[in-house]
Amino acid sequence: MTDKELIQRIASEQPLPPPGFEARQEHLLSGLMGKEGMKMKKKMSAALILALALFIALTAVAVAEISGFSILSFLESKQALTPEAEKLIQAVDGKAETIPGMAEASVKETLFDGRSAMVTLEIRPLRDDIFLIPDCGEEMSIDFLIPGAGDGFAADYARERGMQLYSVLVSPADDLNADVPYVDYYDGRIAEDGTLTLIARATLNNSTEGFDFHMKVRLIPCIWAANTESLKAYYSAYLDKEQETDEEPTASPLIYDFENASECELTARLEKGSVRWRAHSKEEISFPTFGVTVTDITAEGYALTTLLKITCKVTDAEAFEKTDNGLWFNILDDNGVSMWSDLDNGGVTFPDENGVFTQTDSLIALDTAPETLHLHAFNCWEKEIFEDKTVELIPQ
Amino acid sequence: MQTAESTARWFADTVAKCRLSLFRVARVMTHTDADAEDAVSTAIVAAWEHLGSIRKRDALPGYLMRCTVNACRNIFRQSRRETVTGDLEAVSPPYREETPLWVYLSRLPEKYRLPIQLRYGENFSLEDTASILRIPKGTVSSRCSRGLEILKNQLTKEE
Repeated sequence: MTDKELIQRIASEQPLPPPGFEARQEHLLSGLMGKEGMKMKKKMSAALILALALFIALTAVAVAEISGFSILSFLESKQALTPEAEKLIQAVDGKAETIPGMAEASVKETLFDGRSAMVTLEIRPLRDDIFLIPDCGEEMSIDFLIPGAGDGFAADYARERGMQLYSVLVSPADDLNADVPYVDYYDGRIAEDGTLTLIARATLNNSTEGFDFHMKVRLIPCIWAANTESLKAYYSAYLDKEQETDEEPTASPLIYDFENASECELTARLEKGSVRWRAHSKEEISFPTFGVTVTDITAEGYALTTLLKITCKVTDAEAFEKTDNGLWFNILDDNGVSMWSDLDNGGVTFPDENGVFTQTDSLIALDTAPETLHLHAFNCWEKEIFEDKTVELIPQ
Repeated sequence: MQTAESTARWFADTVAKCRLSLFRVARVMTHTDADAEDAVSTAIVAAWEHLGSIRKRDALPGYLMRCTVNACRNIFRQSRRETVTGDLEAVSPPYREETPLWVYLSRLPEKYRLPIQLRYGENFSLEDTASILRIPKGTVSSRCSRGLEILKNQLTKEE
């Protein structure tokens, strides 16, 4: 098969949308544009702003002052912390690295719980006309990034003040680094002097005792459609020549000019906190609705989190197939409240050739090993099929 | 001077023309019809909200696509679901009524399948694909090449 034949197949073998898709989208459009829809639009606008904020922060953190924005304040807003938790957060007097003429970046704090790494970075602009925002932050509410700044999006805030917008992207410096595949999470605030404080989180592929986190901090210019000259230059350098015209060059509201991005690299040493307790499940437990048996659960208690690994085996392929790989276990406390922590996205692997797969998760921190865990199995696609079991744990 | 009515009509027409494309890209990212549809709806609302700042009409499809990609990533993060797509042999087919090509395409890591879907499934230019994904053009090219190579190997084994 040639590349051309393959590309033709890709173009022709595309899936169809589900029944009713077109009608539902038409309904959405008419809702947006109709009289009634204008109300809906306002409602959805608020929802959109919230969603975009969640995109970076997952949950909105009310921070009165930028000086109070730290890993600790961030975590405290999410969960009750154990007394030892604060000790795990390491203040770092990191050497500032300079992006010439643009900004200085340095590491201020680190946290590592064995699987999730969090780093607080400060990026200080070196010019008054530079406005730094977290990656994908141009459509965030400015009030979220600068508490008290009022309504509107971050991008509009910068434009109204004649400032050049830069998206700050933090990523592993080495793309081939197997331990830290990518930075999966941002939260950010902007101080009065324009310093951007970023909390970046990365989830490691494998648990480790400690590692050097090599980061690349990139400042990517965001070019405005309204900025004719810069867009002309952008077109000349980056886009099709045919787009060079005498007309006002306009494009999507913002263009990320990667070719003119500037960067520096930072390194932070992250050490894992000590394990306070370990426990494992007493016996196997079956979930016939999903065609799965939980063969083992291991739990490790840290000051900030409880790391959980659930090992499962497919025992009824037909029943499991119906889940479309959507089986997930929520872990509930004795009151039926989820114990999930936001420290870690967790994950489920697909079954191997023996039908074995694992779910990993971070739960809220616990002082001692729990005697039992309540497993709430559900299909994460449908969210309508459940099965609940309780498993006993044995401390190690 | 555009009237509000003509702007709304243009927006609706553009959405109607590209919503299947938005859906397919969302589906290749989220793996489910329901999440893909949610992502498309979110993207349409986002684009409508920013309509005033879109000054060139033919920029709207690319903007809608970028919003869709963002919405899909948002859904991923909220769903707490990890996609483990590196080991192709270990992945069981997630779809029904789909061709082998689509199944294998869906199992590619996102960094390959998304540029391929945008470039060859939806016929976006190299530049537009780079702009939508916010990655350099060279990266788009290399990921497409590598993804096609993997895809070809998988299909050759299958067929």
